Amino acid sequence: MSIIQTTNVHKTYEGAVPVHAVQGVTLEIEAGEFTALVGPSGSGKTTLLNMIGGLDPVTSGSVVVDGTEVTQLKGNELIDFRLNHIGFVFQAYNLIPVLTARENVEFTMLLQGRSQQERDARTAELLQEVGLGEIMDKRPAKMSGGQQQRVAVARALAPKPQFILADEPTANLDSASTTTLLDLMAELNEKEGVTFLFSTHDQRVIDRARRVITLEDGKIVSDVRK
Amino acid sequence: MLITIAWRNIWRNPLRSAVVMTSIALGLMAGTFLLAFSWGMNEQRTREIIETQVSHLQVHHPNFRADNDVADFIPESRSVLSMAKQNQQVKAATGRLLVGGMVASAKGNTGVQIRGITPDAEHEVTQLRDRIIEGEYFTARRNPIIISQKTAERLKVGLRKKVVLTFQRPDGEITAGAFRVNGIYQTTNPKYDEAHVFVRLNDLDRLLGSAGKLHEVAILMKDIELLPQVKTDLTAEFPEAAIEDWMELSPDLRLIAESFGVSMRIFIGVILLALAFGIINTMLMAVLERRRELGMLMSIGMNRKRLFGMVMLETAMLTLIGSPIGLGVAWLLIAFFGKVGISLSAVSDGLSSMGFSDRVYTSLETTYYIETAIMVVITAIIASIYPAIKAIKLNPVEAMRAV
Repeated sequence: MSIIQTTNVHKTYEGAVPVHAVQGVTLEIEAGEFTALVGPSGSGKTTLLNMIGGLDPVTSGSVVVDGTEVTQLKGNELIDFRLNHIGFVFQAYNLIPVLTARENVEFTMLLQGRSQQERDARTAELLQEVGLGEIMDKRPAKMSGGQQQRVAVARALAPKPQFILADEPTANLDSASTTTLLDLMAELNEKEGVTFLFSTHDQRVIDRARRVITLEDGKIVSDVRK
Repeated sequence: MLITIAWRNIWRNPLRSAVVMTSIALGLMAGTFLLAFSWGMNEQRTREIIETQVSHLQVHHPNFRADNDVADFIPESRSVLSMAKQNQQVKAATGRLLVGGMVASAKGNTGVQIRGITPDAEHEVTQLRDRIIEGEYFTARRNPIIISQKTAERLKVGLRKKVVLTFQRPDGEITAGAFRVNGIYQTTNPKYDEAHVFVRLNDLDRLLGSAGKLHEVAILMKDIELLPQVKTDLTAEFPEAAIEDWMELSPDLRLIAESFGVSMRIFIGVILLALAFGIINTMLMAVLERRRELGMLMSIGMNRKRLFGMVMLETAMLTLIGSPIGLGVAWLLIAFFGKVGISLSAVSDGLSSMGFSDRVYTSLETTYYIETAIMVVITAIIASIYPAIKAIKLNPVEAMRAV
């Protein structure tokens, strides 16, 4: 069953010289897939992820996520959709600096209106799962990049989304942290069936992906399942 | 958790938050203290004018104040005075004869109002004895007169010198009487001093032929709050007399009393306006500095209502810390200077010419603290709207691209 479906999606940034960032991309991502979007800088990877995540509006085409036409959602409706259906992991981690690891993970569940009891249990479970049970009361500034990114993965998983979009998740990490993060994401994918779609340049990530979609000049030039 | 985030956010830049909170506190403290200074000054002046000149209530013949006709005595004047003195709410009451006339010495003359008074009763109502700066208060047996320092200078007379009072009787005849200066007085109001001389009621009554009737009964209350009740009682008992309170008798005091509240609010409003711009500036900086983070919050599912609320909360917290400090320090200062007073002796001449004392005791009603606190909260809410709108209008993707 496809969880993400894009049909002939275009994105053009208007300006003195219009930039056609994405040009007619049509793809389907099935539940449980572990997919890498690859391509050179400027190929449209991040733009495509942003459109799938409802962060950037499409110029034309359609994006259907879990049966909902994302391009038709606006304002708070779109924000609530993201909260309940999509987990985000960013290249720069983007944790809330004034909150501890535990509070960062708990935050999205709080936005969903879940009970304190449920939040506490799931936060502890997720932080244990990403291997950070010991530092749950530290703030981001006191954590390494790898630890912050693992907290970001836990935060993305907390509201039980249909899939996780990760934009260059290893770009700021050293080798050891990259390996740890990849192991974690692969394990979540294999054992719990979490669907991942990430953009990357990183060969180590590409090697671990089970499907690799290559973009060039905003167009899919290859789509390989391993 | 929104409260936690907002609270921690305001301490991300402790120096900036401290500057904002300090400016809120200082602005409120200075504003409130100035209000208390101004309020104290006016309250003192009003109290002084009431307690030394106007009194709380005065009774006259209905035409007397308009026509100043010496024949317009209060109907049943002795009964009015008697009833006023018997009223439990009245601190003191006195009867007067008031006649416009001339006071002349060998070296000069001037127009004055001659006030025929009962010395002890007058002192209880206007503390006249305390204003004597030279001589004594009606100790001479025969025709003593108390004149002001200004009048003494104008007439070039001193103590025990003779002056002649000339005025019209109710029957239209001009009469005159010789009086000896027994005392010289001075109040804080030079214009009042220039215009009034005091003689004994009996002496004036004899010259005037008023046969015990009075032109004026002045009443000082124990509690000003009970003034309307006493006024109503007297009016009911003596419907033919004109019974007026201090605000009717002294429109300038009434104007000050009534306009003070408005001017205070305008004054506080100006301070709060400046405060509002400070808050807007700080919160805009805070929002623009955190564009990336706010974009991320919207990306992961924080809706605009919550984001708006978070920015509002941060502003409210900054204000709610600064305001009580400012109001608290102002309260302490007002309490302190309310006891010891602030000396303005360097400008005492100018102040006294306007009827103000040269030592001001700060004072402010509690309602003004409450009103100011409410106005600060409203200002903070209004001031935070623009930065909050700016925050919710951020595009998540563009915001996250921001450096």
